[in-house]
Amino acid sequence: MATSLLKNTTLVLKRFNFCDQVLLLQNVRTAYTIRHRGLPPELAKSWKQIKQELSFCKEKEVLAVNIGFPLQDGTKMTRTEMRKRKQEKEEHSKRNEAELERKARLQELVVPISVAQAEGFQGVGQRRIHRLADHYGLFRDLFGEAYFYPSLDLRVGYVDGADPEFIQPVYHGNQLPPAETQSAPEVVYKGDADKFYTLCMVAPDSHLEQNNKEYLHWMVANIPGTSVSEGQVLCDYMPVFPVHGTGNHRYAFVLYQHDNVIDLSAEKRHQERPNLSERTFETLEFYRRHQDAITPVGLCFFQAEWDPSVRKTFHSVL
Amino acid sequence: MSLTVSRCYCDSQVKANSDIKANPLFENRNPRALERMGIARKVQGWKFQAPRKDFYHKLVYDKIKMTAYVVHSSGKIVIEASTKEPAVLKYLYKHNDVSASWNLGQLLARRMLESGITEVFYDAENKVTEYEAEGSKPSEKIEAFFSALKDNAIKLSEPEPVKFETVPGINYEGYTRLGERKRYQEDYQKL
Repeated sequence: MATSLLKNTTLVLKRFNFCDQVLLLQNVRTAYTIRHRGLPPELAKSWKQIKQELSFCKEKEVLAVNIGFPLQDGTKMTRTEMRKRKQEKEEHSKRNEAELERKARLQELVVPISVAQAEGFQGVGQRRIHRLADHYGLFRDLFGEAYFYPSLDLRVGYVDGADPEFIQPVYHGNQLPPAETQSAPEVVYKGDADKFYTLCMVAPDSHLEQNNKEYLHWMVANIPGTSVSEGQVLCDYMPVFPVHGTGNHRYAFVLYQHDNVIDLSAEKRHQERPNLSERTFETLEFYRRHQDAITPVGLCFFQAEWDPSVRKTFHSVL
Repeated sequence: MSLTVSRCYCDSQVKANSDIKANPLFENRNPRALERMGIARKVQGWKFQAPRKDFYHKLVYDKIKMTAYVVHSSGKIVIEASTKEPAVLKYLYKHNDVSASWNLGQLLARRMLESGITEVFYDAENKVTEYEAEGSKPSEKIEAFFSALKDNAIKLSEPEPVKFETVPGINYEGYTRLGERKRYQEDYQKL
């Protein structure tokens, strides 16, 4: 220790163990010495402090927040739900086993997939949509640290003008040609008749000037129940325009639920030719402004790549 | 065109469409865009290890648990299908027979088409499990599953990686240079 320098001390090199090669300055008169290693207790660091400094973990990660309704996947059930499930199980066991066995043996058994998926929306379906939206980076780009499990099965489909029978549906990430997105799609969902809904169609990748902003393609606010035609169209539908050479752009439909009518007149965009800088939108900012009232309940998205109809859009619509 | 934007929350600087100048550093934030084009980086450097890691999305089929899923190279399960799901099981006789396997294939294919991930990597070469070994009897379940995928136009190989033009410094593919004179050659790297 530097402080223990005295006038009559001599340097004593003692034979220590192999690792220990410290020179000690000590008073030769004393035989038994107090060895001070390291810094004094006032300056020395505790084990916790050393561990913190040595650990390579990043700053505390911001915990992701669920801004939608809680996931109901059947782990917590009420008595009525449990009774219903028991009934279903009994019915399941009473079904025509012989018929099913015969079909399975002859390999004629076909599960009606669209029906099964619709029935399995609660739980499995919700998780699937959430996972895919996460994989496509939608929560990160639209909401930042927040996410939600869609509690409604939102169904969006583009009707072909030439052939009204054919509908091009929008699922979670499927590829659509921009030629089929020229007019506003049909939207169907099983919602509460007492509540109001707001639908936004948003393009997080298409912004031509700022990389962190989105374009608002379509906005229908204060939809009473499930009748989308009765909602306020704040922003006219604008067809999709993924720029050539930039790959697949994502286009998301987000459905928000609210108990009462909200004044969204500030979001109104002009009815004439769409002005792109006016259509600049940020979902997170919009959500933050109205977060006390609205909850996101539905999510649908598709991908689109350039095709010649985009050129027409640029020339005529924009 | 006159624009009145007094009550709008959007940018106060509203300009006409013709005044917009495209960002020279335009970024498409879609994490799957590069993968679809075949440009995204694959996990390289594990050439002599099994299972293979150089893929974007991989298909995994578990015959015993009767689940099939698509995994991303980062380890995330993207799409999952199982015959044990209650909504699916109620239409089946057994969850693990051949017809269930076919239906599982149909279900997974439908989910893959819905999600836009239709080209996946399937490790057909490095088969570790005994039921897939060469020379063994083809399993009906496996055949049923893959035929269902094929019927739905699911491709079991990923898009070809784009080969960019390389301007090599030294021509490694030419004849050996050991006997050459010590003189500057034209195909050396240009400094």
